[in-house]
Amino acid sequence: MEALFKAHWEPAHRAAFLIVHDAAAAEDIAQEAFLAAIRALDRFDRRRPFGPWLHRIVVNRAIDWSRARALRREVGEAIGDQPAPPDQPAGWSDETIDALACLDPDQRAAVVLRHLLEYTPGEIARLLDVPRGTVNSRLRRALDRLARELEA
Amino acid sequence: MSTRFERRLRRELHAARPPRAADAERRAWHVVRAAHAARAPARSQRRGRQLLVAIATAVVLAALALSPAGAKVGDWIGDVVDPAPEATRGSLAALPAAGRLLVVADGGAWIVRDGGRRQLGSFTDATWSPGGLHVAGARGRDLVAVDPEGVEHWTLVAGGPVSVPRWSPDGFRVAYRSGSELWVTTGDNKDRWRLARHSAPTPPAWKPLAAPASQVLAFAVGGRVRIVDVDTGRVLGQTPPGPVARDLWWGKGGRLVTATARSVRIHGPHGHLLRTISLRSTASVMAPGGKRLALISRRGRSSSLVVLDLDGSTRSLLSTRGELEGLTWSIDGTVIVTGLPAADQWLFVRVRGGIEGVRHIRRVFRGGHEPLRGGFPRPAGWCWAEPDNRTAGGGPPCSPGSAP
Repeated sequence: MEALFKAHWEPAHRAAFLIVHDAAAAEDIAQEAFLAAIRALDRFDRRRPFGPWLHRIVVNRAIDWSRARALRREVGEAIGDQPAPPDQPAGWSDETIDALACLDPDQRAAVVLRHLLEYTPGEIARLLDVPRGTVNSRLRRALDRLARELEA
Repeated sequence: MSTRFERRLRRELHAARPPRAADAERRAWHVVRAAHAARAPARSQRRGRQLLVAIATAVVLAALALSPAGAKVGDWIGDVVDPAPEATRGSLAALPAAGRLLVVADGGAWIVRDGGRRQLGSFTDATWSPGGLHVAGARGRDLVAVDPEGVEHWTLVAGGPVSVPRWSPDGFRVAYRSGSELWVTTGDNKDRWRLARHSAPTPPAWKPLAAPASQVLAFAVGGRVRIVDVDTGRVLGQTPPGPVARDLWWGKGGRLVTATARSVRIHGPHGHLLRTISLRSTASVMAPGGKRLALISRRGRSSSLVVLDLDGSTRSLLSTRGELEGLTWSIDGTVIVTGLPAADQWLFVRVRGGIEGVRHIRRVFRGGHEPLRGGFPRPAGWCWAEPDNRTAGGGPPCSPGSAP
């Protein structure tokens, strides 16, 4: 387990953070993903790689959290609360994080899976259980939006 | 879509790190490890049965290895060691307790396990990581992390000669001396900072983990031992002034134990003195579980291996006319290994009775015919055979060795 943790924690944690943009939530999500993996370890087919299995849990939970926060933010703004500014990672440009924040959670997840964790669109489709065309569409829209924000 | 844009995006995504990532990783590992340990009893039972078979096989092999020459050496050892070893054998083909032994010999570090040994590198001191996945070794001005196969994972170049590296219980920090300064580096060598300018050459001692996890280190500065949270630098306590401690150990209940040439002192968690036990010693090492301290007690030309119960009693396990050197407990706390250089032997001493000797230790770790340049091969720590055993067994990760 220690070897698995050391090999997979950092990418999982980073992926969660890039989707949710909240350090505490990212830590909780990544940690919870490992705990879920431990609970399901006996059912896991060890001929399959561990990474995609873990990443599926991380990304889905991160998307769920982001959607829930968006909902809370709408309610909060309605009653005057201001959302907390996103945590700033080390070695990151402000423009890129602002641009990522403009994407919806599904698009952020697609970008992170494609360009951080380096899955192919077909693999992403299997991970997220959506059609491949949906993945391609999300990636295209996400990158178009990012390009507009960053290259403007 | 511009591929140059995608490449830039990919670079930035890979370069980004969440804030306080190292702390998050450390906290997560505590939780994950505990969860994994809670589900592991069936696996540990299987491993336990396999271990019993392995030990039984090793005992049979050891008995078969006795030769007439071995019997002669055994007789001689019987004259100088009391009680006499039940058997002496000529090889380290099998350890008398489970796990892997870290050895520092002649400027090199080795790992010994059932069936063989492997040289890790040219280190003058070495320490196991808590899971036994790595060893941190001191090599000149380098602090080096290697895996048990000897593959170097990272090298830290210090400002002065490196000594007494010690890995924290959770694996996320390594304390070491650079010259006379005491430093701490993260377990992945991504950050480091100085804790003290003028520390004593005493190996520092990490406090066993407590919840919430914090990195507490005890180290000697002059005649006091300072207890510090290494991440904040906050001094949590210190001992009253006294002789410079040779050894520092944390015992059960958060007690800090300091050993000098003439006494063993037991302190509370913040350094206040609880008891002083007059006991001359040249080396000590805390048993797994933190309740007993093994010491080499020397009187004239004789040495004794003594076990001190922190709550009171003292028991001598063996005495010898030669000098004993080096101490390590097995990870299950049933065996202590110590060296008898005059006989070129290691003695594996069972706490409940029984001693087994292994001959030709210098030859085992030198591999040639030239005499050793350095000291007698010293056991520097005993760890699990497989890292998973650490969490499955629920016990301490690895057992340390006595100070060099």
